[in-house]
Amino acid sequence: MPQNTAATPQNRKLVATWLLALAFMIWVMVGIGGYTRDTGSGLSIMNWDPIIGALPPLNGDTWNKLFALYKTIPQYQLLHQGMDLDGFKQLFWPEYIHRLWGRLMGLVLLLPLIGFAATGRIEKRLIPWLALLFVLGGLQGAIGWFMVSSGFFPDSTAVEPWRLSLHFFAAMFLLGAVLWTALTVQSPEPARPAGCKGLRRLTFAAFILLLLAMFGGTFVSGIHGITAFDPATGIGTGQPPAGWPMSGIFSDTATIIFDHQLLAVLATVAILAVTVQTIRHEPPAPVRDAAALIGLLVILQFVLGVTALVSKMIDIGVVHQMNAVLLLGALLNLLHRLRGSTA
Amino acid sequence: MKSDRALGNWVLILACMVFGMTIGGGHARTIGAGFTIQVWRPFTGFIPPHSAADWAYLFGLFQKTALYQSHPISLDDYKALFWPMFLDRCWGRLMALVFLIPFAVFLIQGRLRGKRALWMGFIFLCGAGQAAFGWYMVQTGMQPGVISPPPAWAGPHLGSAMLIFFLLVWTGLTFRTPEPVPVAGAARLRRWATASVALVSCTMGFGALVATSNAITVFNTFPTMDGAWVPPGMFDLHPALLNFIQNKATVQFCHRLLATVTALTVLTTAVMGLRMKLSPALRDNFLLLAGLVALQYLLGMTTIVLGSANLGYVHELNAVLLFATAIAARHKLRGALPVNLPQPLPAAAE
Repeated sequence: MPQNTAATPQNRKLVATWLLALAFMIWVMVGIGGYTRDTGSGLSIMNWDPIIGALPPLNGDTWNKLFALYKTIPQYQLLHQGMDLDGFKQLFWPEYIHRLWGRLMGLVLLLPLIGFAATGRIEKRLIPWLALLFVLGGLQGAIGWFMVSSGFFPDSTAVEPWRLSLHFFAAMFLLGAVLWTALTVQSPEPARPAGCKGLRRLTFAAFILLLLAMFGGTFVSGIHGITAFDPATGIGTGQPPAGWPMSGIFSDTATIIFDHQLLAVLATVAILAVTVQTIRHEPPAPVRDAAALIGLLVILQFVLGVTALVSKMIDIGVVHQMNAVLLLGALLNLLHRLRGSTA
Repeated sequence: MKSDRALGNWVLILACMVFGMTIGGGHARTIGAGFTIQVWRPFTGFIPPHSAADWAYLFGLFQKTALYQSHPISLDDYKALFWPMFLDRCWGRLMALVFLIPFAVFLIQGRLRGKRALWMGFIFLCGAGQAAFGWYMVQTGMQPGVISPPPAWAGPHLGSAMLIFFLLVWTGLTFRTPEPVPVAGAARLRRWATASVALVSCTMGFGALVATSNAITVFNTFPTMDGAWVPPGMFDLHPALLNFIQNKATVQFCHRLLATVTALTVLTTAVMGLRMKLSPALRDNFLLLAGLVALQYLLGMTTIVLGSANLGYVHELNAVLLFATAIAARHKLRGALPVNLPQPLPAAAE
């Protein structure tokens, strides 16, 4: 009996909406995470208590204890020597909210999942899969802590870029998994658009290029490349640094920025090619709109990227990061609509 | 009116030649060659200087300009500046020939008659006026203290060139397809396309003022103007209207603001068009429009941040292509109908 009710359009819509809301929460989480890095507050909480850490400091004693702990790390000694408690609180809140939002997402996944499973509103095969995503979400918390702990190393004032990259891509995996599941619940039967097989391959290639460009972006962000633009030395103006590509893929600022730009141009060209090809193919309206959306988002993304580079405004960098995630989601949406394309 | 492809193609070739003229004029401006030829002989000026005396005469006239007096150059450097400007003027004369010879042939053949002939004659007069205006602009070089064509002259010079360009593109397309093709349910899209053409024109107008007032040398930051969203000193000149012609801060601010509004409007128009069932030609037109406007915005950002006049020149040429694409889209929507055409009832299944 539950098996049958799970397949009703109302229940499918309910589950899909829930999962889309969760995907939206992950997107917001990327924004909070970006803001946390933006304000340099990621290292302000020196411990990880998955459960009781949800409680904010409530009295002066707790604040003093946390602040005393912060004073022991190199970031305090190198960058914030002499900071008062109010300054510490400003560092503390973004990181605290970032962690709290993570816990909230865990609840938003777990509680409705139990409820839907108990009332038979969700397909049985989705239960273990979503339970696995819950566990992976917990793992993402652990990866976050693994990343933060690298910021406490001697002489270090920020986390290691590769750990930041890992944390970001774990988030992208979770977002992609939740979004794809939501879309599949929404339309379980592939639309199988005719004559779109080549297009689906091209879209997949564009998707891979986007992932690579985003990977490059995490390194630009990890090394704080936002202030690096300098036309006088050619950093960020698009000319390959001396000795490129062996000029320090993961260490040299000019190389990291150039690689991100190169990958971004390739991804942009590929995505625009997908848009143009799809629209000229006159596909069904949802496919056409999905293609128009990636075209617009990639233009916006390129403009935001150039703007972040030249303005050195970290807030625009965060918006650029959030738009990258939207673009990734939009590309997954197109890929989903192209499922089962025939030649 | 019946369609005449040859007639249309002739007018479109003239439009392409105006684009060529923009290439030449923009280049002359970029290298600062505008004041090099201080004579205007409309009919015999195509003969290049060939004796030392010719050169001495021309160079002597140039030596009277404030530009030369503030930045003296050698005769060889003068020749290097002279040739691009000379070529630019010859191109204008070539355009007159490419206009007049087919014009005469079409008249004799009787393919061009009545209103169409009068209209083309009017466009020719516009072209002649454009040339005369250009000459008076060049003459300002003889005024004391004027070392480059003043924005109040050079801005309108590009503006009127673009007006002629618009007339040629529209007329050429109309000669090719005189009867508007009905496009069901596209009345709103047509209004957006009209707004796109109008906004692209206005943005180009301020772009011309940015180029001619040399505003590229200030506020080389994006998105703010040296940290301010609205730059200081926008109304320093009196009368206030003058600020919108030659105040670098004001014209650059207006150009940036209009460019953003234009880009958003054009992209919206393109997306609206692409989401409708349109002919493949119109669909591709909208794809190109979206691509060109995105490229144009990026070129503009890059130009101002790097303060590069050469990139500004590319930005100017892409603007003309964008303008042409917007005009073409609007032209294909002449036959837009407010609602869907009544659908014939489906034939009953036999």
